[in-house]
Amino acid sequence: MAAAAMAPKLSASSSTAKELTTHPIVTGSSVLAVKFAGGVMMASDTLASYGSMARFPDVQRLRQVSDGVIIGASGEMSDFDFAMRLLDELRVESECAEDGAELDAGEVHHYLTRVMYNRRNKFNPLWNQLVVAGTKDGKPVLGVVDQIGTAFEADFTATGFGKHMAVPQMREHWRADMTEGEARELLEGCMRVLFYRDCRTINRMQIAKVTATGSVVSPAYSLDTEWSLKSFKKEASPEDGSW
Amino acid sequence: MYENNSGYDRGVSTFSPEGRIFQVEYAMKAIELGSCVVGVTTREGIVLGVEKRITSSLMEKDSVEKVVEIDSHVAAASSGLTADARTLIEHARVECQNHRFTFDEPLRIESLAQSICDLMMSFGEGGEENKSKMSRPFGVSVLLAGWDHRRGAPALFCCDPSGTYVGYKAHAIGNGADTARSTLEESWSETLTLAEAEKEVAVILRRTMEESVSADNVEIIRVTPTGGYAPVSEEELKALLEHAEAAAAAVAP
Amino acid sequence: MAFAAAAASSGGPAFFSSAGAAPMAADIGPAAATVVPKSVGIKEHRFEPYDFNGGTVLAIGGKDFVVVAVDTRLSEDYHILTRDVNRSVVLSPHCVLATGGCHTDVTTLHKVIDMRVKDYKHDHEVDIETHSVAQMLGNTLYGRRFFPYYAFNVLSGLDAEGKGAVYTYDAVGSFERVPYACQGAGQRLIIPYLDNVVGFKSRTDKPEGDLTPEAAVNIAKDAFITAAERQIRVGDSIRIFTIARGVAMKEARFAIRED
Repeated sequence: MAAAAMAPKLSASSSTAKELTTHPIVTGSSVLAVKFAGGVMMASDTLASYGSMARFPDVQRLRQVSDGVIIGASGEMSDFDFAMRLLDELRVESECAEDGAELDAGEVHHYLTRVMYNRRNKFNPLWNQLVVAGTKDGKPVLGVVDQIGTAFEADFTATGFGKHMAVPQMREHWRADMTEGEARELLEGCMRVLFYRDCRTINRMQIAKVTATGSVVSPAYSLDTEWSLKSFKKEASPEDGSW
Repeated sequence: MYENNSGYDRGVSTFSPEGRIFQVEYAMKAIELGSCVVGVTTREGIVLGVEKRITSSLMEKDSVEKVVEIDSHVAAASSGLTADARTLIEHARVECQNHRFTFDEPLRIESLAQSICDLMMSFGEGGEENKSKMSRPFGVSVLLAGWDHRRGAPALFCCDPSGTYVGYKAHAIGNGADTARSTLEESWSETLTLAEAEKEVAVILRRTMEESVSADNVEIIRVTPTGGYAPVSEEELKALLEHAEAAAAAVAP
Repeated sequence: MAFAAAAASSGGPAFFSSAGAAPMAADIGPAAATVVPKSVGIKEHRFEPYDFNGGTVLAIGGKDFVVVAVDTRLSEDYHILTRDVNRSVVLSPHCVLATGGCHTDVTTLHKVIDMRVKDYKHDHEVDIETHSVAQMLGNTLYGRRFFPYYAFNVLSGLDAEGKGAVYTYDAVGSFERVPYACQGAGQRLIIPYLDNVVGFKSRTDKPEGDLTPEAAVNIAKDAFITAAERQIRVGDSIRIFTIARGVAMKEARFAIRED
């Protein structure tokens, strides 16, 4: 895990060659998302780290693309801003047509997949794992795409450290007929574990949902925590450290 | 000229008030001046017969090429400005080979006709960006005769200077084409054999040509599903022409 | 729009009690924690445009049919990204392409081939024949000779005579028509099995009559069940396409182990 402790490099380029994102600098950690009966719910914290430093504690990593589509991002926050700008340009262009047509989540996911793939082909990736949520024909859509363009849909998903810590819980507890409350309970449970275990997380999260009637991103809030659990209280000693 | 067409024939990018592009129509006229080409399809294959204009006994008859192989499954013959035809033939050959390279199969004849027509209609008053474009319509019609492997059937298409292509069971273009077509309308049938079609082509050429027919000024080729493009040999050609003479003699009193 | 409150949002949700956490802490020891997952952003030091996402494709050609099977597990390192990914594309009523490898290249390649097949149909007004797709796919792969699609293709269909046709490829476009093929994560486990039960290689007996589509489907199922036992990238489920002369293409799903 030594690599994790390394601060991001900010070396000035000695040549005039174009600078590419060869590694991410200001990063967001996990994004979690689950489908529930009639919609999709997503959660993430609001931290953007600078290496191991908790640099920006109030960054929105869940954003609305339109009434019907929300996106959550892990990875490089500036690349996420850029991707959102592309989507905004697309939306403005579409609105000029005044045909009432809006991109749905499937289309946004597909578009982002092509953007990510083309940037990868130029060896100049957008260094993100993006989670796209929305509905199509009343059915929930949940798509994921990463910095090389690997794209898939799923019933539930997690990016970043959440792949290790949240997915097992989701596998255990997710059901297709979950209510909204149950979905939120699941996501908050996962977020709590991530706060306990992921060093790139803070206890300040947002939750977002999309249903057929629209989308909403919550203000940031904190979760109740419980630090008196046995495994947290275990005395640290040189021989038998708590993990 | 001005009295006739009020100057609407002086460019290819202006319609006349009657909705005509005169230069295209004039190009069609150029075809009627060309020597005769006859194509006949049968279930066994296709026959293409052409008149070669040998205007001098000093001409090398083999240097006049009226019918050419585009690919092993297609022949083309043209009437009109032979020089224009060469551009189209070159294009057609490249298209066929490209298709074989990409798809490992012969190009369908209709697709080939479409591709030739795309080129034929890309004339006009091009600006700087259109230097390679023809400034006038092509002055030829092309008869494409080939075997369509996907339908398992013969295919005969005619591409004209307007960029239109039409499929035929049997067709003729060039000098005397009207006579030839009316003859074909009478004589063509679904059950025609390849041998019968070859004879019919010889008879039609004998009838439409101003010169007397001989192995020097007539060329006949056939395209069959198994044999592909195959010119009729000189002996076979002579026999066909003898048959044509005999048939003509039988009709004449 | 408001959020439904999580039932146990204060005081911890019911499904995550301290009792539940305890065995977890015991299970994941320091040894397991040293596995550095590649996809946790900051640990990336060099951009890697390729990833191996698993995917195993199998095809068996018969006298007048072909059976194609492909698994649906999408993996990345030790993660399962989804258990239900599609790595196949139906190109015509008698032709299917299925591909394993780097999924971003697989999806892109499938879109490119599908587009070219549709173009062909518009241009020539007939469905493209399998051998033509085979050639075109080879050219498409070779077009990226110096930045290859990391994709392992098996193209299956009926040929012009209605016989089963299976084409197998390398990443840069070399291809070959074969009686049966397997590519991808599970190929080393499956090919010897196919050599034995389909190819009858090094056997003293002869097959009893021609292979039927039903028998081929069963062989495909057995092959994937077997591969899933030993190869972590094979699992979850398989899609099985049966393309037979004079019958509409059939697609079926078959579940295999999920662990």
